[in-house]
Amino acid sequence: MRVKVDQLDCTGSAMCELSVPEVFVLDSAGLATVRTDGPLTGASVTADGVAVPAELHDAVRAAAAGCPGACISCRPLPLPSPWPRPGRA
Amino acid sequence: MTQLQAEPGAADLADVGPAENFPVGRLVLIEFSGHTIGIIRTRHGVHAIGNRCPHQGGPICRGIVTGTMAPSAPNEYVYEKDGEIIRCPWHGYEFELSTGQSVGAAVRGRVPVYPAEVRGGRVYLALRRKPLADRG
Repeated sequence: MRVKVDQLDCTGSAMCELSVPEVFVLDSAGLATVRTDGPLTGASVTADGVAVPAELHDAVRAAAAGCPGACISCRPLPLPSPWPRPGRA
Repeated sequence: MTQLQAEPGAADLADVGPAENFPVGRLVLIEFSGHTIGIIRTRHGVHAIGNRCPHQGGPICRGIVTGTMAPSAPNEYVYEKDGEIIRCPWHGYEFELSTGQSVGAAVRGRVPVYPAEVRGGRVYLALRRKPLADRG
């Protein structure tokens, strides 16, 4: 799952940081952002957000649901195709 | 609710319409690049705020624009900042329109505030957050 915070809508209430400090932190402007350190060191970062390990998915979804600014988006990572790629044995 | 889109490549400030569309003291909701933004003109200028209360996400733009009671001595009642405060309709928390900050720091966080101005009879809005030092 990829997690992203839209800081345009963030209220800086820190609910996410309080509930999942491994994933969320407030920056110097007082707005939430997704960490890239701690348990997320070396995590894949794209425009869709930061890849979060499976053991944190439930906590991150709960934080997104409880965010006053509704600014946390969670997108599932694409599943690997069950079909073999052409040209492979 | 007005539907608007920022023009690709346009300057930071986007034209959101003539000032007469935003009567003084009346909060007008617009949809701007996927964000719901409340715009209100006051005696001191124009303010653009997000539609989420930092407390529990209430639709703060449906609240009333008012003033607030200042700290004062016993048996004294000091009303101030008339027209510069918005009160959330859910729980009554008050926030300053210019900064988004909670009155009396009653709530952690702040209402999102975006730069806005009136120029040449039109209202302009920038879809970025006001930096902390830039508020006021």
